[in-house]
Amino acid sequence: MKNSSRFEFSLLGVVLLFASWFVVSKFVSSDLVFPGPEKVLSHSYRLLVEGKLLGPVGLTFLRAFFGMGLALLAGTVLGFLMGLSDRIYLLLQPLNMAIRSVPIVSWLSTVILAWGIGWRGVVFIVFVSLLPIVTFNVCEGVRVVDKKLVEMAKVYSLAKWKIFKAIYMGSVWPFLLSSLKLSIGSMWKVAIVAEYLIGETGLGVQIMQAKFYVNTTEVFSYTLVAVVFGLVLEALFSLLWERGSFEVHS
Amino acid sequence: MKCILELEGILKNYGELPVLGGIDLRIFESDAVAIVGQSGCGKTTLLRIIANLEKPDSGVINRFYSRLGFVFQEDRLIPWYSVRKNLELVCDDERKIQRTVQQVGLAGFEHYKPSQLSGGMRQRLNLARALIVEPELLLLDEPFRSLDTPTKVKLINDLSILLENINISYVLVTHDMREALSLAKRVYVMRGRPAKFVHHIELKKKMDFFDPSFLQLEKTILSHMEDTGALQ
Repeated sequence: MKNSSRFEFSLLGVVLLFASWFVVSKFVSSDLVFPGPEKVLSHSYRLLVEGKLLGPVGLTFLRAFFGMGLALLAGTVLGFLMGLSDRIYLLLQPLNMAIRSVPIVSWLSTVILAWGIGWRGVVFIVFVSLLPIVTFNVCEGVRVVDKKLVEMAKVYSLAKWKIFKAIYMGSVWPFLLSSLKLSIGSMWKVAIVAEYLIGETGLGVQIMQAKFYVNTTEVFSYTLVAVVFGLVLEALFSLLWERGSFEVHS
Repeated sequence: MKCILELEGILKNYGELPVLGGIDLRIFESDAVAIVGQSGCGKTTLLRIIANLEKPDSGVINRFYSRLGFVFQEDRLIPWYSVRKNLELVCDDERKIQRTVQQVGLAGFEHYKPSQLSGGMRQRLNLARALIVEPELLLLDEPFRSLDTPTKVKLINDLSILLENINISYVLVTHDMREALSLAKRVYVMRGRPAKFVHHIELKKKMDFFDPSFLQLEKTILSHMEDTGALQ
């Protein structure tokens, strides 16, 4: 399909989404239950003008990004260790699987008791939610390293750091990018849920307060902003993905 | 002449399967040795033992060289690195990189990745990587196996001239007589299960495909290679 046709179809998809939303809201005919897009958009604009939008978005983004950064660092180290050693893999895999299966709400009591209400708990929940994804992906990347390349490196007596950089990192890189892509999609949603439950400020708290005052239009406005911001982040990352793969692998 | 590699009584089994049954070999400075034998007879295993990628079950190996080059059967190039970066991995000297790229006929392709090169060009890069470390001993493991005949003939000719000029010792393993007779001055025939050297030929010079005695020598070597014990 031509690029221009793809763009036209994507645009048509967005129009279809808003049209369906509009039809459903007219069918429900209650702003309290399901406000229409025109109301949500105008309310979002008002929040933006009043300065109630960008602040919470920025705070949520910082927490989500910080949590993801920590997960990337720790997950890369753990993934490498698990990928390189079968013993460490067998030792840590049950823990990794357990962390992956624990629901977010199960962390709440621990987090609240440890840090109380606030940003640290949100960062921690983003971290533990993303850690298993990164660890698993990096571990897989290490395990599929071409042993023949490692053998070649041995013949030429390459320094360990060169083997790590040229062979292991090169092999792990696509897996790391893939986990980064998955993480960017998840971190945003996890951060908002965590803020909703134990946050002091941020988008999640704004949604929680709007829900508390039964202001469904405001809940929808913040949700719309969250969705748009999440999509923008993913699109930005996709651009970096293409450029990043090229730079590292050239 | 100085000996740079000495193998004595090399034995190797893979579990119950005997592979090498007492290999003795000496490689000297500026030596050009080919080891021929049917596929699966243990030629690659012998090269891997020489390169210290595998340990023999018994036997003595004395290495008197410090730098080794290995042209693998598969190119073993870093797929995400360009031609230049593949060479930079083993050599920091910019002038050497430029010179070697010229020598193997890859000038102008320095920024290409292995996947963008033909099979012949990838093997040239494989060879360049082995030569750029200025090895005292070069091991060539059926380097032309996956190439079509015209590319193979061209590469054999180029390699023959190149190796003559740089004057290093090399050991080529192959099942192809043309490769062996074109590139080596000593040809060892490997046969049996476990494999041993059953015959060896000293040539006064490397041979040309069109040399009248080429066919006769090929026939002699083939008669020594005939063996039903080799793995197919």
